Amino acid sequence: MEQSLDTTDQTPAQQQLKRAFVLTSYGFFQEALQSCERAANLSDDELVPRTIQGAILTASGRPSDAMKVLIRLQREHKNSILCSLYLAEACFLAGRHRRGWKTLNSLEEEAVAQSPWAEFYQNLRTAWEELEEIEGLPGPLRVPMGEDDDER
Amino acid sequence: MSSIDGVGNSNPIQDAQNQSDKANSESPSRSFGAVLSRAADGVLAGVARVAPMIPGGQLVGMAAQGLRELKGTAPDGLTSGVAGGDEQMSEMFEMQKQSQAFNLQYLQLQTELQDDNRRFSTLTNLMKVRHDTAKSAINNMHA
Repeated sequence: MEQSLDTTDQTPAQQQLKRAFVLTSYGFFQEALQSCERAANLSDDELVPRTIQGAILTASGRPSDAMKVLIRLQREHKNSILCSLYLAEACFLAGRHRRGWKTLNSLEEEAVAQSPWAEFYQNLRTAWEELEEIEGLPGPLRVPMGEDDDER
Repeated sequence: MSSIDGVGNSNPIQDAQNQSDKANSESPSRSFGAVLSRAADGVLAGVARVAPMIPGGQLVGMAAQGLRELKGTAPDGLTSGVAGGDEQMSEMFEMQKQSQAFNLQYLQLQTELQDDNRRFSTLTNLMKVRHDTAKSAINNMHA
């Protein structure tokens, strides 16, 4: 957290993304998404801001919207491992398991292993391999995910 | 043969057989112990009646009669044929069955809890790594 509040040597886009990160931790998803939008406008490359936007959409229970953002981003940045990982996660949570596995399997294992996201990749695989065996999440973790869901 | 008929105006072996058959047919829900007890009782009665007609059978008849009396006066817990003892045995078997069923349920519950715990730790790890990944991506972002 100290690192997040330290604003020296940071670009304005980074500051906005860190703000989004903190807001997400406290459950202020709408404000966090607005910060991501601002970060994308401030940055020359919108890859990281849009990827984080997708991750926040997934975290806020809107995996379908996250998929839209991340699929568009993946078309523009085919080699982005992080984007593919968040896309796979959104697919799994949206119930699109086949698409999720396809996205994960399309990644080159060697490239993933050399990237900083190897642990995330491995955990994502392990978790969804286990969850598929029992047809979903454990009871207490099941939450309504769809936008049109009345229970939401 | 006439002397045997004269004893009780009936065939005691046939009586024992009849009693045994009756015991088998009248209450199918009764336990095996109760049926066996009634049959044994009938057989002993038959032997006691027939024994005096056989040379030297007096002793056998007394023994049979003694056994019947002994069975009648035995404590409840020692005779399965007596209603109380039979009930206790049935209750004991029932309790054993229930105990086995509960043990099985408990084992199933333990297995389910272990599975749930494993899944929770997997998901906790995933969420932590996901959080760290986002943080790292932001920190290493290029302008």
